[in-house]
Amino acid sequence: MTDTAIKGVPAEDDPRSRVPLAEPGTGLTKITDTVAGIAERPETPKAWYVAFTIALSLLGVLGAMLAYLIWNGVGVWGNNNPVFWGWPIVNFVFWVGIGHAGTLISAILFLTRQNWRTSINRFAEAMTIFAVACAAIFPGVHIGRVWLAFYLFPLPNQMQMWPNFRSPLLWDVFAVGTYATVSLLFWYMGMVPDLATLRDRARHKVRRFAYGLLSLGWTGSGRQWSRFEKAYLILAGLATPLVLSVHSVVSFDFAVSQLPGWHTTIFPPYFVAGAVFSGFAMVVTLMVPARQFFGLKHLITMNHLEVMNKIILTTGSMVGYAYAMEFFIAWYSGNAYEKFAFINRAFGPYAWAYWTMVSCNVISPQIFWFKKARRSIPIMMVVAVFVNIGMWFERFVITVTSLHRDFLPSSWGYYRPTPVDMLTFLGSFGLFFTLFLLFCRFLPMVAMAEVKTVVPEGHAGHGHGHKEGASHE
Amino acid sequence: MSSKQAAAPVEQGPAGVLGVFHDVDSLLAACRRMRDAGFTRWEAHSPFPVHGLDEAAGIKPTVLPWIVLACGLTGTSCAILMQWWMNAHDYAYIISGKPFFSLPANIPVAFEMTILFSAFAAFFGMLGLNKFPTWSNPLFRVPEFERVTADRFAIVVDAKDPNFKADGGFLKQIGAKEVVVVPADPSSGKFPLWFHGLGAVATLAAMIPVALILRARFVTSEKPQIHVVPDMDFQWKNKAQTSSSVFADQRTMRLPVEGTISVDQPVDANLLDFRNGASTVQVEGVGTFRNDLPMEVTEELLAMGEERYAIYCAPCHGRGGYGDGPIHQRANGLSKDTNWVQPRNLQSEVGLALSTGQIYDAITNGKGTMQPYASQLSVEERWAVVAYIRALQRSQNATTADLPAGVQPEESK
Amino acid sequence: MSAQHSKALPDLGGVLAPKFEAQRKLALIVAVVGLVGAGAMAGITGNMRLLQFSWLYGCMYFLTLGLGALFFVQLQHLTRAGWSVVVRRIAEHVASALPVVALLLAPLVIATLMGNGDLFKWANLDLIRNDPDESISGTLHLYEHKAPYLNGTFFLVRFAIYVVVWFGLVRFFRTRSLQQDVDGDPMHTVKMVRIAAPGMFLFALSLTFAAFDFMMSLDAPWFSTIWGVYTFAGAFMSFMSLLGLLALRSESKGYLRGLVTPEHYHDIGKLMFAFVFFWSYIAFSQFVLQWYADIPEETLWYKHRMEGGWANLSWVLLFGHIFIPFLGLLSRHVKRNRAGLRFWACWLLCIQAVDLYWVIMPNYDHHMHLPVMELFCLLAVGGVFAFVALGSAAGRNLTPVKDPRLPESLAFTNI
Repeated sequence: MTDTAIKGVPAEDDPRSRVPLAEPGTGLTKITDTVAGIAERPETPKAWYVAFTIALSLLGVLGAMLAYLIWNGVGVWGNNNPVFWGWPIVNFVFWVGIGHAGTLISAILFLTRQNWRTSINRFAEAMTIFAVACAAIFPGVHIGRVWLAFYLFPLPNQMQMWPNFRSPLLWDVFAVGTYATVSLLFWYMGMVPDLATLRDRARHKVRRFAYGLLSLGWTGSGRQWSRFEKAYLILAGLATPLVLSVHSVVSFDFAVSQLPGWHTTIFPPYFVAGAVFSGFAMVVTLMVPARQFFGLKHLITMNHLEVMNKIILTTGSMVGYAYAMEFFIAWYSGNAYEKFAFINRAFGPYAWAYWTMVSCNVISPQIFWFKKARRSIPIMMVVAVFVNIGMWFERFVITVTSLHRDFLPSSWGYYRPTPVDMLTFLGSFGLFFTLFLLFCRFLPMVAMAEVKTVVPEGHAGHGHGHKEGASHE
Repeated sequence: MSSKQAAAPVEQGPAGVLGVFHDVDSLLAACRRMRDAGFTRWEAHSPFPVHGLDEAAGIKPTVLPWIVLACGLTGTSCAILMQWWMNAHDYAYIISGKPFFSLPANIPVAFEMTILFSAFAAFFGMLGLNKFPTWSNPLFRVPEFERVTADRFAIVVDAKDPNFKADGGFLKQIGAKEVVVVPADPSSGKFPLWFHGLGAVATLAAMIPVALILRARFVTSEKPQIHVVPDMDFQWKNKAQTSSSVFADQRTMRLPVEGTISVDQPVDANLLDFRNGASTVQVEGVGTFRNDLPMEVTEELLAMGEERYAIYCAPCHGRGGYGDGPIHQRANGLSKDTNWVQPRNLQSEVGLALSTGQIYDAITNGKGTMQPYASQLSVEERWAVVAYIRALQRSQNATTADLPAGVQPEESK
Repeated sequence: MSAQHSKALPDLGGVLAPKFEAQRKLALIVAVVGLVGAGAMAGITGNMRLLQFSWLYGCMYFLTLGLGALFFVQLQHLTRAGWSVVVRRIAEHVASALPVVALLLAPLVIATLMGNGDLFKWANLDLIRNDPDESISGTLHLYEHKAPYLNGTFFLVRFAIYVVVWFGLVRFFRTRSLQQDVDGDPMHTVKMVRIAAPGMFLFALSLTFAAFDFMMSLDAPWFSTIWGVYTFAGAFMSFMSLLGLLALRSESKGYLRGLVTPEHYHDIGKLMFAFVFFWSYIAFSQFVLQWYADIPEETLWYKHRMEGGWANLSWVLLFGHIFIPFLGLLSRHVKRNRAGLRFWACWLLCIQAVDLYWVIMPNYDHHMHLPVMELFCLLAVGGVFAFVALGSAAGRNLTPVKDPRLPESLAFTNI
């Protein structure tokens, strides 16, 4: 810490020192007590039950809608000529996109040594897995006869057929499948040392058994850590190109076609930036209430939120760059159809969706140029929710505006979702929040072992003096 | 540890001694001294990865990266091989004219499988090298160990270490705050019998669906299939060639409404007839064809013929009619091994000998690999193309005698 | 990482601020040799068109290096990076050559303004209109459509904007940083952080449109929305390689001895590796989308590069720009090893030259030829580039000695 502050420069912007990542006085003991304490609380708070009931009811809605869909066929959706890709793919891309922030925070920020990530990575990784689970529903059920979904995989079947590997839709199966698997491994592996902490603190036999089973016999020995860290580094190294590839492959679903508005080369990086953008917005949306509710403010500080808001501004601007490039090249290409597709987006029957998207995604994050806005809870909540809405609309705009104007004007149409579409989407939030609330209740929400490495006591040369300061005994 | 000991725990020596440390610095210092004192079977435990511990405790780098690299390359090869085998070998079929096997389209799946295999290798390799899961460990019975996964550090010396002393005096010397003896694990470290029984039952139960599927693969059945979703299997629609109770005549397929006019305009019978005309030729084995045009040749007719020829014929037969259109050139350029047959050279001896009726017949009904163009060209247009072909043939085989009287060169006079 | 990890700056006794007299002389000689060689070849063969293409090629190679340097400087401020402080000054000096290289493009811009269509066919539509090749004259309507953007006057205006933006940004960061060496005021760092964010916006837009103007519009009917990102990926990758080489050279010459450690090389190597991958990702995305959709106005660009001698170069790129450096740079031991890093830095600098050659030169001729004129131009521009960068560095500290984050950078270790 420096002795004198520079006038007009807050401590966190002072280049002469780094502010501590957790609030001062947060030692090893306090970290353990705070995080493990949430999972160990003997009585579940009432608010959790209220939230869980709501989430469970929405999950019920999802179940009912899916059952209705499977019984009646996909005709219950609004998908029809010429818009055969309606809300299901919009919801799929929306959820997969949200699932990108987790791996970004755990992998890319790990590789670039952004140590502030330790407070939020577990949370974001969990969010990733639940979002990918929500996403996987939509392609799973849109095929109509769900009991034939195994045709998607290269499994021997009675017709002796194999899937078509030249189709980007099959690439998607592999990309999303790999992503879900690797994210799950990454999440679980990172949690093993923390589960061991919970095991050793557990007083109840059942809890001790359950956490003991999950922690696989972790003792935290030097060799275990050495291999663990290597494996973690490798998984991070693998997850980074993976996270780029997944949304790129999702974008290929659109971009390898020749449809105006879909076929454009910037789609892969543009989709990835958009995915990270929406994922970070979702992390902020969930994190702000969670840190308040579970008393994690000293671990997830305002500085963390400010950095996340900066990333939202950065990725939002990248998305804006891609919008601008698409528009410029639509004109520059001299392709009449391409030009029409973009003019139609901005001024056609779906102009309302387009301008919702632009104002939410490009304009609203620009408020984060101001430091006050970056550090204001109400403003960041509003922007995060706006970004979530805007990113859903982005996928809607891409999917629907390109399809509703066919090359044949006689086929033009206007897509309207049915109540089943809407309730299914709403229900997917039920699944998301049900899983999320269970996670908050029973598993370590913050990566304790990782946070411990970034507090002063986690380094050599800092151990003496204040180690007992926060002891619980 | 044998299973018999579980039944009657006998007196055993300790499994080791545990020294507790309170901060990173004293742990690292102690580790260095342990290493230098020649201890071999000991471990330092910490609640988080301690930077510098590998060096202090003399831990060698793990082989994990090599395992991952090997598995990753296996994943790549498997993916490429799988895609080739499935799409180009075992079940080769053409999709939108794409090649069976083309690397650019196979790269995404190959990439994903590389990552998947590598990630499995990293995860399971870590588990394997650490011998996880090991649910039973003598340390878990030591109360002092409980805080080692939270906010304490420890060094554990195994009883098998040659320098081992049960009183743990050395640990005290190097700064341990507390030293406790780790008693040997009284349990066998194995799961009880009922657990194995439960596992066996669960495994067997899990095999049932697999067995059923396998059975279904090889057994034929006389029974009708189960209709999971009857709405889809029995749809409310009438199929062709079936009876219907809706209409009095009980026909599902309806006749056109009376007075319906065909979209085809009536055509002069003379135009349709390509066999009989003012002059005819006899083609052996095929029949008689007319060798004139059923209409007057006008400039408009030839212009129409030229235009239609350029659209429908020239891609194969070429602008000059030599059978060398761009499709032919591309087909030849692609591979010499294809069964591609050159389109008829209309300027060859055979081509020039074709009668107008034969050409009309080929346009209307197709010939060899040439498809019929009746749905693309009206009767008049077909004759216009025939007329244009005649003009084309003449243009390519002109003699000086064809030139108008005034412009003939000297020597031909 | 906290500031307590301090390590005192070793006393280097003035070695930190070399004069580079011999090196600047050498750079000047190289520039003159290149200029004379290119001029003589143009004089003998009379091929002014090849001269223009080669000059563009030479300029683009060093322009991308300069842009990479500018990006690096801004990125370090934007992310408040600690590790890189010790090598950041090198990037500032390299970036200072960026506006000069941009100005070397001026003759081409003026020729285009005067309607010379040798380089940019859109500068003279009569060339298109009267081309006997139907596949070119048939695209006249596209050229006419793009004329409001692709015309000499607007081209000149845009060029002027790029030069001003680059000059302004480079000057700002270099002056502030050098000023800090004198007064040690941490406020300079705070201000540079503040400017880096809007600076990135200007950088992204200027790089994108410069890439469109000077490379994409060589084949005006062709278009790709990802082109700016593609150019950026190559630019940053090649600059990181150059930075690695310069840091190694400075260390071996004694200027940075004891300051630059394998930890810094490791990070530079990581960024090289990351951008080898990123370039591969962007290049593959562009290729696979155009290859798969198979639309004539897009695939033609790739078709030209898969015929004649260019197909060989495409293979060189596939292996030399993707697979080989990917495997080569995968291991951390290579990145921390001076010889290993030097080898791969040279490799990537060469492959960037191949990449730009593959991008620019097929527009000159559908058949590859021996690149003699191109090499002369590369030498000429490179000589000027080195002369300016060395001039910027001469007599000034090669590391920002009073940067508040320098102690952190010196004490930096990888996990």
